[in-house]
Amino acid sequence: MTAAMPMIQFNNVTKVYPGAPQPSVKNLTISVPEGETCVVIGPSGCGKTTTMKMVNRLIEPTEGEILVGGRDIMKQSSVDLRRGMGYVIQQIGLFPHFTIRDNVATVPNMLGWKKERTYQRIDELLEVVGLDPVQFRDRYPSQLSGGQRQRVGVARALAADPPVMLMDEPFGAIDPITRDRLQNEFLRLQKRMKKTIMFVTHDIDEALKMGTLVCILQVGGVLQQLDSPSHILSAPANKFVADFVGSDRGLKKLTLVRVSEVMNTELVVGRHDQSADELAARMRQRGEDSLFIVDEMEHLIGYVNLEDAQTQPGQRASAILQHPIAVTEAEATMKDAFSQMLSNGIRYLPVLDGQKRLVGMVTADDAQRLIEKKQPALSRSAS
Amino acid sequence: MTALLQDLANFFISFKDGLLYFLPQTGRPDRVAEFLWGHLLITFVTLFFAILISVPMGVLITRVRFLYDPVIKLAGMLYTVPSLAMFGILIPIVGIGFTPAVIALTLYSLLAIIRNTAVGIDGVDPAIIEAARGMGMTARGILLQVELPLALPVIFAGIRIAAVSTISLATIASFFGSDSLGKLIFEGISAGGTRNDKVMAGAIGAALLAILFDQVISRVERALPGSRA
Repeated sequence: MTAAMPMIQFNNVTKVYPGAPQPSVKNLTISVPEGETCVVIGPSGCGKTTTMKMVNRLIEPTEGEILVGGRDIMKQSSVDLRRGMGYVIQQIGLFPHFTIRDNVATVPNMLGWKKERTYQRIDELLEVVGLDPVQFRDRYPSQLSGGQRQRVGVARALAADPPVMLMDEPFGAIDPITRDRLQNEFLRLQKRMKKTIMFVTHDIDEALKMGTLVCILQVGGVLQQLDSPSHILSAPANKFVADFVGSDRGLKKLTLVRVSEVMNTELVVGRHDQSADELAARMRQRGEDSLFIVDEMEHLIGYVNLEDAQTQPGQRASAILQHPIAVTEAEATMKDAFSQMLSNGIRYLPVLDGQKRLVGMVTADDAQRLIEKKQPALSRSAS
Repeated sequence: MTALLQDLANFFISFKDGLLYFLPQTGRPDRVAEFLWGHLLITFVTLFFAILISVPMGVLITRVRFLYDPVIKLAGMLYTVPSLAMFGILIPIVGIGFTPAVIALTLYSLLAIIRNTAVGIDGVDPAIIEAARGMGMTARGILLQVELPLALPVIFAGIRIAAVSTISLATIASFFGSDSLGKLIFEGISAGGTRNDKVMAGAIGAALLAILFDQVISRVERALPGSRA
C-alpha cells in the first residue's frame, strides 16, 4: 500500500435506518491514514457508533462507499472482513463459558492457526496487556475485575494482529482511576503497534488524549471537524465545535500536553537502604523538605520527610518512609495529573513508567504555567 | 382417631410391600422388571424425539420471529389436551400400545422444551453476540459455540420438566395397552383396596425412574461442551 492511501476511507457515506425520517449519518467523507487513531465523538444521536459499525459491516451503509486498506468493504465477505479487524466494545462481551485463553483464541481458531502458535500468541498478548499468563489464562471472565476483563477484551481484539482496530467506548464502563491507567497502557501499546484505530467516545477529554485525529459529528451524522486535537482546541471550525469542546479550553489545553513533556527528570532520590542521617543531610544540602525513596529496581516505594528523618536519625529509610499518596504515568496528560493533584490536595506527583520505575515529577506549578500560556502548547507530535 | 392411625399403619405396610417389589428374591416380582423397563423405554424414546423436535424448533422461532407466538400457542394448546382425550384421538389412527404413548407424551413435552430453548437463547447477553459477530464468527458458529452453550442451563431445565411429566403421564399410557408401571397401579386400584401394595410399587417405581433420569440428565449436561463447573 502506498503511503498516500488512507487505511480507512469513507466516501459520501449515508446511513438511513428503515423507517427513520432523518439519516443517522449524512454524506460523511473522512479518511484515516495508516497508524492514526481517529476518535469519533459527538453528542448522543450523532451517529458515531453507526459510523464505526459501518466499517466492519455490523451496520451496512445506505449510500456511498467505505474502503479499508484500499478495498471496498461491500465487495468482500463480511466474515473475512471482520476477522481482519480488532473489535472492542464497552460491554466487552467476553464469552463467559470460555476460559481467558479460549476467549483470546477466538479469532486465531477461526483462522485455523496451529495450536502451538495460538497458545504462544495468547501468552505473549496477556503479557502485553499486563496480565500474568500463568495466573490468568485458565480463569473464567467472571473471576476477573472489570479492568482486567477489558484488558482481555483488548488482547482478544489484537490476537490475530489485525492492522485495523475498532473500539466502541472501550473504557467507558470502567472506574476513573483504572480508566486512566488503561488509557496510558493503551497509548504505550499503540506507540509500538501503530494500528489504524477508529475509536468512539462521548468524553472529549478521552478524545483529546487518545486521538491523533478527532472527528466531531453533529446530530444526524454531519461532520463538523476532522483535525488534530490541538487544532480542534486552537481553531474550532465553528460554534458547534467550540461549544462542544467546552468553555474551559484553557484547562483543556492541559489535555494536549503529556506528563512526559514537562516532568522534571533531574530528581534527587534516596535509596531504601540509606540511613535517615544520610537522607536528612542530602535534603538540607539540596534545600528539599522531602525525598522520594526507590528500591534497587528504581521502583518508587514512598517518600521521607525532612522532619521524620531529623527526629529519627538512627532509622533506615524503609522504616520511616510514607507511602505515595498518588502517582501518575509518563503517558498521562497534564490534565489527568492536575486533577489528581487537586483531588488529593497535593502539589506534586511522582511519574512512573510502564515498569513502575520512578522517572520524574510534575508539580501544580507546571500545570498552572501551561494554562496561563497564551497559545496552546502545540508540541504534541502526531506520533 | 384410631381410624386415622389404622389408615396410617396400612399406608406404611403397603409402602413396605411396595418396596419389596423392587428387591429380588422376595417372592413377588409380578413382572415389575418388565414394567420398569417398559416405562423407561417410553420415557427415553419420548424425550429423544421431544428434544430432537423441540430444540431446533426453539432455535427457529428465535430466528423467525413471526413464528414465535403461533408455535408457543400451538404447543400450549397441545399441552392442555387431557391425556385420556389425547389417547382417544390417537388410538383410531395408530392403534394401541407403545406408539400412541410415545406420540402423546412427545406432544406434551414440546411446550416445555421449545419455550425454554427460545427463552434461553433470547436471554444470552446481546453484547456477547455483538462481540462474536464483530470478530467475524459465522451465524452457525455463534449458534453452536455461543448461544446454545449459554442457553444450556435453561434448555436443560425444560428437559427436566418434560422428563418428570413424561414419567408421570406414562403410567396412564398403560391404560391403552403399553407396558408401564401404570399396569401395576391399575391392577392395584381394580382390586378395590386389597392390593395397595401394587399401587405403591407403581408409584415407587416412577419415583425411582424420575431420580434416575434426573441423574442421567445432569451427567449429560455436565459432559456437554460449554458448561463449566
